[in-house]
Amino acid sequence: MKDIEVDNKIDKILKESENYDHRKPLISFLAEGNLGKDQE
Amino acid sequence: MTNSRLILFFVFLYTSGISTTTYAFGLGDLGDLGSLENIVDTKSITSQSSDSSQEGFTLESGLEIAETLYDVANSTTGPVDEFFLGREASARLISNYKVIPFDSKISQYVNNIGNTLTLGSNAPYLYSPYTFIVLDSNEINAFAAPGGIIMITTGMLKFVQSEDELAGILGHEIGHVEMSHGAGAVGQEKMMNLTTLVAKLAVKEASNGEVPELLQNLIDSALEEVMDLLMNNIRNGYSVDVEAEADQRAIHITNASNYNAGSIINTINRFKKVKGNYGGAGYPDDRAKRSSDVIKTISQNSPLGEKARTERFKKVMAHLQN
Repeated sequence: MKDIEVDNKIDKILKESENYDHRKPLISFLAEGNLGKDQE
Repeated sequence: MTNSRLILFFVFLYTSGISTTTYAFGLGDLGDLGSLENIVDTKSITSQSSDSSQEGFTLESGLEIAETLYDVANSTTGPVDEFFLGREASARLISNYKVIPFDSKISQYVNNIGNTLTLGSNAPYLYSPYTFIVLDSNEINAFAAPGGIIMITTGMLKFVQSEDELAGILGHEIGHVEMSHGAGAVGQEKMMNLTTLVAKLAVKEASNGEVPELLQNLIDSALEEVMDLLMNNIRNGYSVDVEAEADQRAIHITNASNYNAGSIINTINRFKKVKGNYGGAGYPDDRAKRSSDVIKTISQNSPLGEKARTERFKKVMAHLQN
């Protein structure tokens, strides 16, 4: 039972991460910090 | 289970152990995607063994299990296998910690830095996207599990003094993922046992969900051995050379993302001052010097943006203090 709860905990985080659209916040994050591969 | 079946199984274990010692893991080969499905044709096994499984563990189902295990043992692992290995390790690790919610400002900030860095790495796209998890603990630590699950404690977030220093820590962990250090360390020592992780699924299928007790015990014990080794490496560091390689990759990854790669030296020196060592037995005694030598070989980025990054770092960290 404990194993199932632990797996649910990690799976919930992985699902949240997978469903989250990282692109939009990342664009302003990169611009504000002068970051990104093409900055050079 | 009769003696003949036991002998069959142990002969298999012995022979496959020999045959796997020369195999190596490789995350970089994306051509391996889907290897789990290719290796274990579970549907086929289920249909072939459905009749015999109703009578328990027969010689036929034993042979099918042995054949499946042999196929698995003779295959290399790919990104899919690494993900499931890392998922198991992460599940075990976070069970000991309280996790900061994914949608919190702290977690989003760490994910933004992490995702910026992965774009500058040699492995930006994995089977499952990189996930950065913040653990609520005063312990000063960060961990990388195979497959791109990276964990960092709030203690470490308080320990670093700028976004660029934090990028150095996350870059080190991404370096471990990129270089397949987790699966590689397991591969060198316990390749045979790792195969049981995948084979466990096949065994369950082959016996129609009813796994013979002896076989289950053998598999569980082998799996525990693999996980113990992996967990020990994740928690305490791999080896001097492997950790030095992760530092080297951190410098290149942060530099490629336009961070100040030299910031990692400040963190490393502070480790020595505060903790009395460079991270533990698995880390090189000359860690700072090795990193300094690598930094000399790269062209430094413009300092433009560093001030803004440090300011936003302080703003986000203010949430952590409360």
